Amino acid sequence: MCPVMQLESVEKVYRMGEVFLAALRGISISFQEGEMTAIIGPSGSGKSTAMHILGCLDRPTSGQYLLEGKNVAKLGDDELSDIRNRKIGFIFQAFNLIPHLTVVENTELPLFYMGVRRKDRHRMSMEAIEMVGLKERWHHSPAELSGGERQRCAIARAIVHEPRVILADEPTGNLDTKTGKDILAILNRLHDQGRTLLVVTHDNDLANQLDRRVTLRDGQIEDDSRKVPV
Amino acid sequence: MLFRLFEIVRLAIRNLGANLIRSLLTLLGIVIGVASVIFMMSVTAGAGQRILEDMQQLGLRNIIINSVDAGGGGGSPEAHLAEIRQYGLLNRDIEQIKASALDLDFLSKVHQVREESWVYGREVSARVIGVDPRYLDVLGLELTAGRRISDLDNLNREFVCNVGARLLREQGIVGDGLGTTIQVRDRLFRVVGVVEQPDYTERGERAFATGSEPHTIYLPAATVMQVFGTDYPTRGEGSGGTIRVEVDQLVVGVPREGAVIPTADAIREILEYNHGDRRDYEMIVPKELLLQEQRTQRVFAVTMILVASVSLLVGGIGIINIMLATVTERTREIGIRRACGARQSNIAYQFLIETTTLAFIGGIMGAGVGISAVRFIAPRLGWPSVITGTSVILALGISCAVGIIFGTVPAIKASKMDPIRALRFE
Ligand SMILES: Nc1ncnc2c1ncn2[C@@H]1O[C@H](COP(=O)(O)OP(=O)(O)O)[C@@H](O)[C@H]1O
Ligand SMILES: [Mg+2]
Repeated sequence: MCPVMQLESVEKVYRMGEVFLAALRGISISFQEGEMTAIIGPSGSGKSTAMHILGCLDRPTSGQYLLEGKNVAKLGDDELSDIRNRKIGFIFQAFNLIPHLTVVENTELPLFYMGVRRKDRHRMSMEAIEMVGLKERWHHSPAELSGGERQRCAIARAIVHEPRVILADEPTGNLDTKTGKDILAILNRLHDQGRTLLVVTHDNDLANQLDRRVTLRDGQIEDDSRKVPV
Repeated sequence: MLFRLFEIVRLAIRNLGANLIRSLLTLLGIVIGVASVIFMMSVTAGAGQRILEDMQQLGLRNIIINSVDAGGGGGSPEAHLAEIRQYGLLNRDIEQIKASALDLDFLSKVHQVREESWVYGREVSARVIGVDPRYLDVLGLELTAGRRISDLDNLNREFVCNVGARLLREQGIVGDGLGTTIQVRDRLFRVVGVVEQPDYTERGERAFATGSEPHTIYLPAATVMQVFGTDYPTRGEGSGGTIRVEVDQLVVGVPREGAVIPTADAIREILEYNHGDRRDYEMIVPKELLLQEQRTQRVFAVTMILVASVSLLVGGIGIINIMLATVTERTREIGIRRACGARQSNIAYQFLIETTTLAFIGGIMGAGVGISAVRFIAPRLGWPSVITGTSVILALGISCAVGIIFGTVPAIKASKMDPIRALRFE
């Protein structure tokens, strides 16, 4: 069975004027269907850059990225948009909700760009909102929500269109420990449902709980370890 | 696609409402531009309609020439010798017009009787004129009882007349008033027809020289010439002099509207030759006036269109400005939408629709302001106006066009943003 995502000697070089900065230096790694992987590493090690490439928000400078066995490294902007729309769910540290939309409207966004009809959109969003435990708050605006609730809304948005891959970039980074645990519980539940998850985190305890732990340093993979099944 | 358009518009209105004051200020230019388009078009249409009505009343195939007392002497050498002050149209003018090769429908002379008139011994203030049946048509008189003065009346020099219904009513005459006797100087005229004058426009009153008298009594022209002639004692000044006017008014009917201008030119030439420097006549060519007026209106319209364009341009620049600011403010939203799978075109479309909605709202407000201005300001200025559906639709169309044209730059800017940078934007 081919991996869901596979990077082959992926490099990413940022250019700032005369200076070139290699954020990723030849990364090769693959992720299997249903895996939940923690990605750890010091700040600036290239975790977010890797997530952006895996999430088709960005293209590698060189190397291949096979998503479901298909090389997407050279696809055009519209195709990448469509892949994000159908196959990827993003969760960010900063929640990234649109402030003038309500919880349900934020959650609907991927469906909107999929062209799902209004009625179905609402129904599907409400299901996702219920799943993250935000049912009572569906018509509130983000400003009226606590940090944990905002992240729940972001998770609802990331799963509403049932993507194959969920990418979370420090999802608990802006939350207190207790709330962070709640959020992780939700992510674990998604994993139990068989979804493929990548979670960037600083929390070692958390990282150790997951099936697999990948450590990045200076744009390279320093360590890739799987939990030995008991 | 349509259900999405509707939703984006709804969202756009919500976003604009969130920044109400700013949105309203942005719209000022468009509001003024659209309002002035509507105002301009309504006033132009109104003026056009009025002048057309005026000229139709005068008859677009008619040429009207009035005698004018320009003061000073003039006329024939005989008149000069007899110390008669003469002015106005001459029989010679008319003979020459008739003799020229011009194709004419009719030629109607009017003689004014400068005498007092009475109804059953009571003096009435009325203008008394000698006319032929054609002239009654030119005036657009409507017969309410009896018959008109006919060619036969003229031929036989009958002592009959037509009068306005109002004059008879004011004199307390009941019934249709036919058979009433009207005395002019020392002669009696029997009313054979009662007529109703249409309401002339100001211009019509002037052209037909209806004067300040409230009523008019119409006599057969030939009878007038036989009984009263062309000479009258000067009144009021006590000089005992004599005034002579051979013809007070001449109306020339041209068979085709297209031939009016050349015919008028030919007549003008004859009159200028005969009268030299004496401006003792005035020529009114409705067709010419209409063309002239239409030219003036076109200039006015072009000027107003320029004014409107400038304010629409200013409005458009205001819109670009505010939308560019909006795009920057909403950078993160753009990043989020892109992460959720929005294509560049989706983003561009969203902002373009938002801008167009904004401009369209401005257009609706402008239409409101424009229509109010037409309703409340134009009448105060005494300007005729007509609000046409076309002008409103055009104005709204223009506002949408402004939105689309000036929304393009912000929309492209929004769509070209790098999603990652947009997501990180603070
Ligand atoms: N858009 C960019 N332009 C230039 N340099 C960037 C950009 N994004 C990231 N970098 C650099 O790439 C390196 C990796 O960044 P990042 O992937 O965000 O690290 P992490 O998420 O692990 O903290 C850092 O040195 C960062 O400064
Ligand atoms: Mg990061």
